[in-house]
Amino acid sequence: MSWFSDLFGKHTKDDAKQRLEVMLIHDRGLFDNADLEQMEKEILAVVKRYADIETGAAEINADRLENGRLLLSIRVPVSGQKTRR
Amino acid sequence: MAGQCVVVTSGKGGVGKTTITANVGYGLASLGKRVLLIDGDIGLKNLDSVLGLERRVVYDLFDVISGRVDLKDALVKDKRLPENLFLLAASQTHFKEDVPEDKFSTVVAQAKEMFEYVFVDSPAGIEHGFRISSRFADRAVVVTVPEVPSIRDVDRVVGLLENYKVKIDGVVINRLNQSLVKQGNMLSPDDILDLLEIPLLGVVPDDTLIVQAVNQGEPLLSKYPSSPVAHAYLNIAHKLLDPDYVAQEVKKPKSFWSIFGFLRGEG
Repeated sequence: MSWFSDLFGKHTKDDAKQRLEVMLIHDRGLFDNADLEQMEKEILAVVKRYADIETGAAEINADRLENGRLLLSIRVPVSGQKTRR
Repeated sequence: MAGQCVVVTSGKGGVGKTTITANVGYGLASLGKRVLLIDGDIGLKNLDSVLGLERRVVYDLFDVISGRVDLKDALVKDKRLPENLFLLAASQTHFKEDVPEDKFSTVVAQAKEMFEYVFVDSPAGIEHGFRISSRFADRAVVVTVPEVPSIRDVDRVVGLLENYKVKIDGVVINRLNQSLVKQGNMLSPDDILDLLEIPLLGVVPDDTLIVQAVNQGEPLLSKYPSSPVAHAYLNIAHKLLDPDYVAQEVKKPKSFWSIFGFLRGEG
């Protein structure tokens, strides 16, 4: 199994690390899923006042950076600008 | 003389707190420090048997707390390092909840008057037993194995220790399997340090000698002093004395088969 997994680059420690990164963010109480969902709703509500957006395509992510800080990224595909009167 | 209280804790059970406590305590005592080991796992008790002192225990922590005996009379002297290493055993006939925080705090304060280092081997979990073991500590050693649940629990425990204002000396990564790390199937010490954001105190390789020493009732450091694991324990003791201490490289003794190591891709 060892040469087989080496050959195909199966390194389970990468799974472990990625999973732990996500778990620790949540455990540390910075954001839990409910917080993130609520934040997304509120942000989208603001964006909707200015732009037409594809609902359902928006994404909000919390990732850990190399230096341990948290990066909050929000991705909102816009289909058109609202015409202002 | 005011010594320091060091709690050894992990959150998760079965990661090696007790063997680390016994061996690092033994290491510091062998370096000339006066060391007391307190078994904080009230109701279960393990530290006495890892040290091989189970038959010499007469009084325990609860006898001291209830005022039946003085602290100095309840201590078991380890004859291997008779001036430096002592044990205060846990009681098996009580529960952790029976120990009031203020009483435990008094015992720790008294012990710090008598010893340079007072180690408390914390029970698993984050409930009452962990709380009393940790709250009165000056410093903490956290122990993890290179596995997801253990690392996650350590991170939680670090948060609690920070709330208690306990200085975290660092993490001991226990039972590291170097060949699994090379294969990419075990988290490396660097991976773990990236995740935990606390200093490294030491890495202890996985080794069957650990089980053998516990079977024989002797700290590995005393039974197999020239083994790589013994070096690792001693490095941790040095690092507790001096955070700038640079760990000595652990040399693997050359065995007959190791000359064929290249066949298995070992460097």
